[in-house]
Amino acid sequence: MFNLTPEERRVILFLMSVALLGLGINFTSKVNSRIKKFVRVDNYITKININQASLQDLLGTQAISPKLAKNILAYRNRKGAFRDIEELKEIKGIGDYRYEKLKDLFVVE
Amino acid sequence: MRYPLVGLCLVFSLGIITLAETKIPLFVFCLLTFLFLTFSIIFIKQSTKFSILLLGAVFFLGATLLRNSQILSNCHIAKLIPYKSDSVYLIGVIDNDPAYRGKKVSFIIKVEELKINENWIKTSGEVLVKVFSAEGGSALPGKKNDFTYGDRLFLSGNLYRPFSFSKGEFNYRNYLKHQGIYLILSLKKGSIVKQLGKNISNPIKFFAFQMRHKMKGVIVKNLSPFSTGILNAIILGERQNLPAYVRDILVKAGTVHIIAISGLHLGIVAFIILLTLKIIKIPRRPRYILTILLLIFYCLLTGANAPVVRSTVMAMTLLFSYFLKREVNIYNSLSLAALIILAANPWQLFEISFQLSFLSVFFIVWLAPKIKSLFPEKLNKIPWIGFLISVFSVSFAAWLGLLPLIAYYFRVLSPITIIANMIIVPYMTIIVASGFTLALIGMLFSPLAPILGASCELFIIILFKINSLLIAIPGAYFELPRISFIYVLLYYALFILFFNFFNNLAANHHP
Repeated sequence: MFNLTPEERRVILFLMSVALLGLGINFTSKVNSRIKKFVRVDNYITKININQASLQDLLGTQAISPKLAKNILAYRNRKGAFRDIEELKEIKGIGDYRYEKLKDLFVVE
Repeated sequence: MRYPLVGLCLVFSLGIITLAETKIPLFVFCLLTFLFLTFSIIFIKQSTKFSILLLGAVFFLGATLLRNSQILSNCHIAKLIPYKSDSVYLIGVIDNDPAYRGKKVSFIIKVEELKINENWIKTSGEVLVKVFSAEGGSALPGKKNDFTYGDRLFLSGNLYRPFSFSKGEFNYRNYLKHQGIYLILSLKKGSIVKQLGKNISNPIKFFAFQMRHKMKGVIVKNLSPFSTGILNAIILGERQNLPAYVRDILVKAGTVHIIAISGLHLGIVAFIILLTLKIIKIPRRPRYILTILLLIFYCLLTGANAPVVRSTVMAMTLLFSYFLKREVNIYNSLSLAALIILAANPWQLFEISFQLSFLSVFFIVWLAPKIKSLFPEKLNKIPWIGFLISVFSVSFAAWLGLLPLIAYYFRVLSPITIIANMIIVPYMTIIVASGFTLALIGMLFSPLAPILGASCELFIIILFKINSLLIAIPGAYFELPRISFIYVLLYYALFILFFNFFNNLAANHHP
């Protein structure tokens, strides 16, 4: 049927064997993969230190409008620094709903 | 058999098709492949037994590959969030070139970590991210967020399964599933986007995307938005800014293939590269190697989808055969391209672009010479008439080959396609060549770009006008009702029977 030379036959069989072995390994690793909980993600990656954030940092997220960013900076300048993340609620434009969205974004350090 | 790869490719595809919807576990397929493979090793010296056993092994290998791609790792994000979630937090790296459309941006992110119930989990998988207002969180008011390939991001938004809406035979959820995407992350106003630096896994891909942006910059600067949309689709494969009515006109005229980067484009690009390298006196062998490398780079630059990968693999086999001074077999190189694409992603077999791309090339190679031979040899020898006969044969062969699939997927029957492609395909050479000249000269010597841009603008408007005029001819196209796939298969079966009968008849007349 196929007019393959012995070399061509060997090459095809080799490639298919490697592919089958690879598939087997891939399948086994997928089935036996376990969820590793509690990966440590540093605060600096996911959170912004609100006492050091610049206007640029605040605007760099989708969550804060330019006006709200200026209000946050005005509050910080007035008070010197944030002592607790809940102080965000005292800023004009941040109600309970928005606070819930923002609290995970900031850290007070 | 003169075409061993064709046989292997057909059986491999058959394995994927027949076992796609079955519930047979993967280890059964693995075992069967292993058995057939072992016996083909035992019977390696017996031609017939070896061939049959090899076909069996290839058939089950196709099925194994497909079934394996359906199994997700336990850490896959789609297993952790199966349907829909409220706001989630995740960290990942952008894995493609983000597509901007107005204020919206979309990109694929390779997820690394996901926060569920206050715990961060190491995860895997890809998610399609849709940012609905790229200006919302920009660093400077009025300026867009600049997402690029390799950006590591911290995102919060809503994850959901893609909607299963259909347009014709196209299903959006399946389309994304075939690319390994099971979830969409929607980032609306109020979502968190934080850039955490860069993690470029493939520097060549990164460089290709940068080149793409530069070429796009030149095109945007020197052409009207209308022509920019068309030229970006033609030479960069970027179709998101192509006006819907232009696409509609191209579908009706049967010339929509011009906005998919294919063999036509690759051929012209390869010709430009070979010519440039010849002018600068690069010797023959390094010239072919450099052309192959540059074609791979162009493939990456355009996003490496099925038609461009197919064309690149075929062009590579052709160039390698010139390099080694060996004769090339077009059917084997076509099958090799299909095997490479299907081995990387077996779901491609069910994609419209894959089917149209491979079938059109097959019919052009197989049928066009037969159609051409129906004309008297005297006519074929007259230069201009011979050229017209060749163009007609290619266009008619592709039309006959794709007719049922176009009717099935797009519900259109366009007799005008034959004439349209006779005009458009040769004309595309001018557009692709002038488009590339504009993009490359524009990057190297910008003062010349407006002059080249003006010519490109004219060529594109003519292209659009030709298509518009052709579909305005009465009877140019007919809209069809939904047809069953059985009719498509029946058409191909009758087609092959008819040509076999015709061939036998011809053979009996000329023993």
